[in-house]
Amino acid sequence: MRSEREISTSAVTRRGFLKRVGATAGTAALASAVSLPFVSTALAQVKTLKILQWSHFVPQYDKWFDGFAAEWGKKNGVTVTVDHIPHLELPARAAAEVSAGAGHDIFAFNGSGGPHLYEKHVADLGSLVSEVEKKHGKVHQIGRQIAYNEDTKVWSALPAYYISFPGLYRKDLWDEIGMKPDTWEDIHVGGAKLKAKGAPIGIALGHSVDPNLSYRSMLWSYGASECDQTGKRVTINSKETLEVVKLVRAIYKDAMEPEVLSWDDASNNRYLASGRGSWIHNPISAYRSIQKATPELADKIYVWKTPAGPIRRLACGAPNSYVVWRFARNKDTAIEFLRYWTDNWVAAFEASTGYNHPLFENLVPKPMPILSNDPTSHPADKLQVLETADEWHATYGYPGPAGPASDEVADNFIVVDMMAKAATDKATPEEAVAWAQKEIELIYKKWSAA
Amino acid sequence: MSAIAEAAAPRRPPRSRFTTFDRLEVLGPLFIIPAILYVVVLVGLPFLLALYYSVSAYSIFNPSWTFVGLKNFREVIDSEIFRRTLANTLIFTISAQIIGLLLGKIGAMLLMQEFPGRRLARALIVLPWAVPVSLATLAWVWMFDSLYSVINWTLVAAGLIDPAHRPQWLGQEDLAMIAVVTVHAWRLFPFGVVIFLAGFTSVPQDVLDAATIDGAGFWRRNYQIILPIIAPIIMIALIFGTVFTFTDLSVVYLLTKGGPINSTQVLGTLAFQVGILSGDVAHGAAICLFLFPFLLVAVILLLRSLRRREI
Amino acid sequence: MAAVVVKDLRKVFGDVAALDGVSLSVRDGEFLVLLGPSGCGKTTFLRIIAGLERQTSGDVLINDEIVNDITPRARGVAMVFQSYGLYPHLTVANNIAFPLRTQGTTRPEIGRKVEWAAGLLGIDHLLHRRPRQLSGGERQRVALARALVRNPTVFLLDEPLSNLDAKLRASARSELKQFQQKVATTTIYVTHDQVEAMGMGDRIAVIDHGKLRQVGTPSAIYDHPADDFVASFLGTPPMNLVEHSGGLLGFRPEHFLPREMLDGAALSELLFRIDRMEYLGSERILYGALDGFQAKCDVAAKLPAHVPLSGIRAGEWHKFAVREAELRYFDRDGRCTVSPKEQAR
Repeated sequence: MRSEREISTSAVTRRGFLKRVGATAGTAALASAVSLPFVSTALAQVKTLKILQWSHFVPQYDKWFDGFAAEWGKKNGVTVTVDHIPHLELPARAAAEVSAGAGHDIFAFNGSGGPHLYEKHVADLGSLVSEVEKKHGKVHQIGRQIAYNEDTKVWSALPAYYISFPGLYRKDLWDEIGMKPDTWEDIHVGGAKLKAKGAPIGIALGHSVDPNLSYRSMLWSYGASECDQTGKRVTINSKETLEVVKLVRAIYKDAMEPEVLSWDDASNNRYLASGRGSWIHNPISAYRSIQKATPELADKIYVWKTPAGPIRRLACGAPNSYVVWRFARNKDTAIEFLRYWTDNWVAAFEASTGYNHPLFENLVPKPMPILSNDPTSHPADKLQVLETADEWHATYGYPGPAGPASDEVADNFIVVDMMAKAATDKATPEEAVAWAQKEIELIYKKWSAA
Repeated sequence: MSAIAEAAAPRRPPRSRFTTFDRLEVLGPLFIIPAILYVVVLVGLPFLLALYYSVSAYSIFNPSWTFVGLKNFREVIDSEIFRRTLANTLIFTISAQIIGLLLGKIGAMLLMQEFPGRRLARALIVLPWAVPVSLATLAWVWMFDSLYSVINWTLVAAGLIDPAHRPQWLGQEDLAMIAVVTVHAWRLFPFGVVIFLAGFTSVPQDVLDAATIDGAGFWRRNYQIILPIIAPIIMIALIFGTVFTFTDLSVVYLLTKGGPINSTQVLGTLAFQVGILSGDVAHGAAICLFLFPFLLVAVILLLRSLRRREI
Repeated sequence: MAAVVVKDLRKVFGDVAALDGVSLSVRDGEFLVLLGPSGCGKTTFLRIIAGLERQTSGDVLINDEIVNDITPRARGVAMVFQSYGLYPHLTVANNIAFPLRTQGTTRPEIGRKVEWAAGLLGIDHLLHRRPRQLSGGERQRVALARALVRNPTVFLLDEPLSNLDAKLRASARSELKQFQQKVATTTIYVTHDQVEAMGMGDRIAVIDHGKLRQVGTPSAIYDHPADDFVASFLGTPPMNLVEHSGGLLGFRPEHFLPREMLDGAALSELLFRIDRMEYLGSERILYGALDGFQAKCDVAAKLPAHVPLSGIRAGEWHKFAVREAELRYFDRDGRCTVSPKEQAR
């Protein structure tokens, strides 16, 4: 999904302390040390706002955001600090800030499970969400999945945006075989034909984020899911799942190369850029970098919706959200800022060059800037299909909420490994599905007890 | 009485203002306090905390200290992923030691020879040890890349493999294990070289000459004389290396994230996934603690071999 | 028959010649002592014979066979090192057995030979100990036993007594000599200690700066030093050397006595000014200068302590004498020569 290896580097370096026994505990112990400087500055200033978010993979967006926040601060007499850290560091950072009871006021979660996991440590943003809903339209199902707790009626976060997961394909190659990658069946059939011509398709099948998203998309399109609507009962062991596993096995053997087993989140981008790949399931970042590197190749690459299955067309998007820590010194100021940010969403959308998809219905009215008319793309309406992205996106936990359990299933790559086991004949599809059911049940049982 | 005391006072020699700090019983504890503090605060407390977490229901979602006994351990062991991880960790650690030390020995033997540029070679060989693990591992990520692997490129160029069936170093289960072991062995290698060099130079020349005269050839000298003599030193290297590898997660995390299909998952990465990424601190701590018995054995062996060296 | 012969042996380290053309033949069964100051090349000589080092030029023959290109183990030599070179990780028994194992000797044979060697050296009770549990003397015996079991053609001993304390050294000296006579194995013994050399050697070879100075029996070496180096290296104090008609005149301190203690003819009388005296219990050593002679160092006289010193006092001149037979003459190059008088005849 992203091609930023340098980010993961520093992320793990900083986590070097985990090498110790008792590392988990170490996180908590270190937290107070980490947060000391924040405490002291917070005391020194009358009104401050501290925001922590990931280093966006569109650098202009960070630049815009920092300026935007500073300007708002100036207008309202608040000293605003925005810190950016690599997205892989966010979970450890959140744990540290909560254990210390100090840190930032607004914390941006990248990924699905954060707000639910930290529900007891964050302010209820229910009134903010309903206010935004009133002004900007209904919240998207992803927003509900990641931030709303049906049982406690708590909104633990403000849904911020999600990164869409369409298909990127080589129109020239698909035209040659007279097909368009519109369904997963097309991916199998067309992919097999294109592989024979030396241009296989590629979905990663190793431990990385992209395949977590892709194979969930595929499961949902066939009516399968890891859990039911309540998010409590594990339903992965179904005949629908089995069908998808068999399909993945067929796609792996007929339409892909074994190298997908070793892919990380940047590999499919490079694969498409190399001119070999005929289709990948990825945000348009892959297309954007090819535009810069080899414009003539970029012209051959088109964007289409995530493939559909027999039941529905649904992709797993990568959501982002803002929480306000319960221990934040300036909760009202924080909420005030988030409201202001939401009200200026079109500017945010443009700054992100169309990556950040809105999570409220009317935040960005159609025709959407950039997506409807991208001067760098030929044709200029190449990205227009993404205007409909909200119709075909959900996130982890679907059809239930995204929570700690669905997150741990993703963190442990169980769905991906289920596919990989069957694809590489390490297990029969039936065995792979049964294995996943057992491992996922262990995780759900654990969390339902908590 | 006081008059006597006053009269006596001037007769006493003037007291040095350093007296307190000159006393060994004051200075000793003073100097050792930082070390004790370090151990207690940064090792002892987190360890005790981890022990407690592992028998509690503590998670970030519900930070409760409810005591649950060994439930977490039972649940952890129940998972096939964990059992595989445990086995991986052992395979990974043991093979990295064997290969790293073997290469270290060969390297040290080469570096004992006189050749032009030996000093430079001795300096360069420490590099894998000195380079930050993350940077070094990233270089390896590229060497093992599915598309641009320089290893595969070389093998193809040498006509040893068919480009259509080039090995997927990080994608095939056995190869992925070989890859992470390789990187670890490569990191341990300089340590092995240094230790073996130190060992070799500590064997008296007379003993080596005696063995030569007594009719021992190269192999007999190496395996019946030199190795047994430097065994305690090697033991220390082995145990350090074991602890170092056993508890490491960065190499695996950067290379494979434990994949494919958990074939390279190790305790460190799994504990990180569960405890930090997923916020299940209790189970993460339980997974972590499986490191403990192995490390305990390693440390006991280490201390024993250190003691043996003192005699 | 000669057990070891070296011919024109040279060994150069960088631009330093450690051995500079040494030729020597060691007789069968002989105890030959290689004597010289430290750094004279004697250890290098031994290591070349053992095959631990390769000579720059020249030949080494063992049992009349050129062994230049033969490995140490094939040369049939055994060596005892200064620090013994025992294998610290092996028991005494295994130390002794090691050379046998490398030869593929059968187990019972090894057991038998180890027992025999240990018995011969009186270390049977130590067989299960490790070297670090032994005293210096015991270690030396283990080293000897290890050298012995192989029935070597030649024993090479490199200062084997230097790590023992003075008292032990004296007894070890005679034991070693007796042991060598018993086994009658050709032995080359390296030392810088003239007492060991004199006391043990059948013959002594004196080496200095890589060159062989003299080979001969202890008495020949002592009484008839071939040159001024040998003369000044042996004896405590060494031979007095004074300048005399372009060469050197030498005489041993024990032959330089007060005139009144010597009788008979053929005496050379010398006027001796005593500067200081040392009382050593069994003897007195008098240091001073000679009237009419230049000397590099003090001239010494050695008197038995039981002789009364009648009238000899420090700071005074006294008439001393040497029998002419005890006078040695050395030419300009330091080589021993006949007396100028005889030359004239």
